[in-house]
Amino acid sequence: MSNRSKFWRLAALVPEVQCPDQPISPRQKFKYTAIVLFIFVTASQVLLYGIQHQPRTIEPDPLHWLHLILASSRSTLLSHGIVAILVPEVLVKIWVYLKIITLDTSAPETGVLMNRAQRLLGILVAILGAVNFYVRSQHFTVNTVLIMLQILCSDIIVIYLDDVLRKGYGLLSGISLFTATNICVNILWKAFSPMSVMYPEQSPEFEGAVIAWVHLLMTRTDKLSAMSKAFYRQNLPNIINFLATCLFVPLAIFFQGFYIVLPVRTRRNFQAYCHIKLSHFLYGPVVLHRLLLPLPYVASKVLYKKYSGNTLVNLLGKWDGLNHFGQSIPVGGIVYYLRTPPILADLHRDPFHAFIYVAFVLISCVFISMGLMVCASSKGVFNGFVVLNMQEERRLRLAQPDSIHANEIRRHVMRAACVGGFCAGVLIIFADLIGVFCSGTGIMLAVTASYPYVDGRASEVGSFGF
Amino acid sequence: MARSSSQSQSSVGASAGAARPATVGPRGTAAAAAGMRRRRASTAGGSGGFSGGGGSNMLRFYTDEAPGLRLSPTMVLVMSLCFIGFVTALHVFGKLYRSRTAASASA
Repeated sequence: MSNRSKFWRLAALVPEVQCPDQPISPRQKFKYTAIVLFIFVTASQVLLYGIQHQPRTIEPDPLHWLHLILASSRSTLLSHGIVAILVPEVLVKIWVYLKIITLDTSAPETGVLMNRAQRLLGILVAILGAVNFYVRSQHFTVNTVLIMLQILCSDIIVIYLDDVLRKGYGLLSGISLFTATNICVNILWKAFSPMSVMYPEQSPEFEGAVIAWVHLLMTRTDKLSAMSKAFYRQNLPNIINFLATCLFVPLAIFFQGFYIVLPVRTRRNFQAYCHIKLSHFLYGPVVLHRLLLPLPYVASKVLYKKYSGNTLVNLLGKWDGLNHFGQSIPVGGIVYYLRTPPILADLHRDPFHAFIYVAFVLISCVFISMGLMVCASSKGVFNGFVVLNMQEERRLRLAQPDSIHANEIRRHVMRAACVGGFCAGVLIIFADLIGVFCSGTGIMLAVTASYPYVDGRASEVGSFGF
Repeated sequence: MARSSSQSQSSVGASAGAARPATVGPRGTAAAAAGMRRRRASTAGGSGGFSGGGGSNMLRFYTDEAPGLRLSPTMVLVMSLCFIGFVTALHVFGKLYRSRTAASASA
C-alpha cells in the first residue's frame, strides 16, 4: 500500500486527458481525428527555428526506415516522431513479460496506474530526446536552448495527441494513425512530387514519377526514349514502381481478410466457431523486421568508411559510391546478401544472394511473430486474437468429433502466428522485388495500421496489432 | 462489434480460465453492459465467485477519482495549434529581423 501510495502521488504530477462522459458520435470522432492529423502533418512540415538547414542532398538517409516507422521528419518539429509514445509502450510490454513489473489484475486501479506510468515514461523519453540534441551539438547557445525547448514541447504534444485518440475521441490509436499517415504522404510524394533534382552533367529531373513521365513526353522529341527513361530510370521513382504500388496495395488489403476457422468446444457438448485472423499477426513482424534490419547496415557502413582495409570489415560489407548516382550501396559481404536484389533480373544474375535474402526474411518474420505472440499471451491479451463469430454463437450445435477443447486454442494460435509471420515475409519479399514505393514493408504497415478501423476493432487495437 | 468482442471475452475467459483484461473500454455504457453480460454468463456457468461486474464498476469509480490535472481534448488541440503557430511566428519574425539588419547594414 505504501509503494502504491508513493507511485500514485508521483503519477498525479502528470496531467491526463479526461475520459468522455457519454458515447461520442462517429462524426465527432472523425472531426477529432482530422484535427489531430492536421496538427501532426503541419508539425512535420514546420522547420525547427534556429537550426542550420543543410541543402537537400541526394544521398539517402541510412535511418530511412526508422524515420518511416517513427513518422519523423528531419530538422522539423517532429524530429523524433512518435518515439515518445512508441518506446514506453514497447518497454512496458517487455517489462511485464520479463516479470520486472507484476500486474495485479484484481486491483481496480491497475489500468489507471499503467496509463499514468506510460505517460510519465513518455515525458522522460521526450526530455532525453531534447538532452540528446544538446549532446550532439557540442556547444551551448541561445539557439541550442530554443531547439531543445521546441523538441521537448513537440514530443509532449505528440504524447497528448495520442492520449486524446486513445481515450476514445479518435478512430485509431496514435501510433497506427501517425505511421500510416506518414507512409501515405511518402507514397504520394514519390508519385506526384513537383520537386526537381539537379544532377551534374545532366538536365534536372522531376522527383515524382508521374510528373516526370508527363514532362519527358512533352519535352523530348524521341518518344520511345522518353518512355524508356520514365519507365526504367534507376535514380528516382519511376512508372514501374508506381504501377507496382498500385498492384500491391489492393493485394495487401485483400490479404487482411484471411482467417482460420476453429471449432471450439465451449460448454459441455456444444461447440462454436472461432476465427483466428492472420492479419492480427502482421503488424509486429512488419515493424520489428524493419526496425532491426538497419542496424547491421549502419554498423557496416561506418566501419567500412574508417577501416576499409580490414578483412573482418570487408567480410561484414563492402560499399561502393561510384556508378550509383552518388548513393553508397553494398557490393559485397554479409550486408550485401541481406539487401534486397534491386530488380527482378538480379534473381538470375545472383541466385545465391536471392536465396539468402528470401530465407533471412522468412525466418526472421516467423520468429518475430511467434515471439510477439508469447509476449501477448503472457499479458492476457490472448482473447483479442480469437474473434468469436456472433451469429454462430446463437446457434450452438452439438460437439463434432473434430472439435477441440478451449484449452487447445493457444496451441492453434501459435501455429497461426507462425503462418502469419511466414505470409508477412512472403509479402515483403514480393513487394520489394517488384519495387513498390516506400517498399512493401511500408505499405503493409499502413494497411495493417488502418485496417482495424474497417474491421470494427478500432478501440481494441493498440500498437503492434494487440 | 462491441457485443461480439465482449461475448468472446466472457466465453473464452470462462472456459479457458484466462485472466480478465486489466483495462476496460473507454465508453462507460459498453463497459457496464459488458460487466452485466459477464455476470450473467458466469451465473449460467455456475461459478458464483466470479466478480467481473463489480470490478468493472469499481474501475470506473477509480478512473473518475484519479488525482491530477484533467485536460479536455479541446484544450490539448488548442495548445498544440498555439505551439505550432508560435514556432511559425518565430520563423516569420526571424526573417523580418534579418532583412531589417541587412537593410541597416547596407544603408
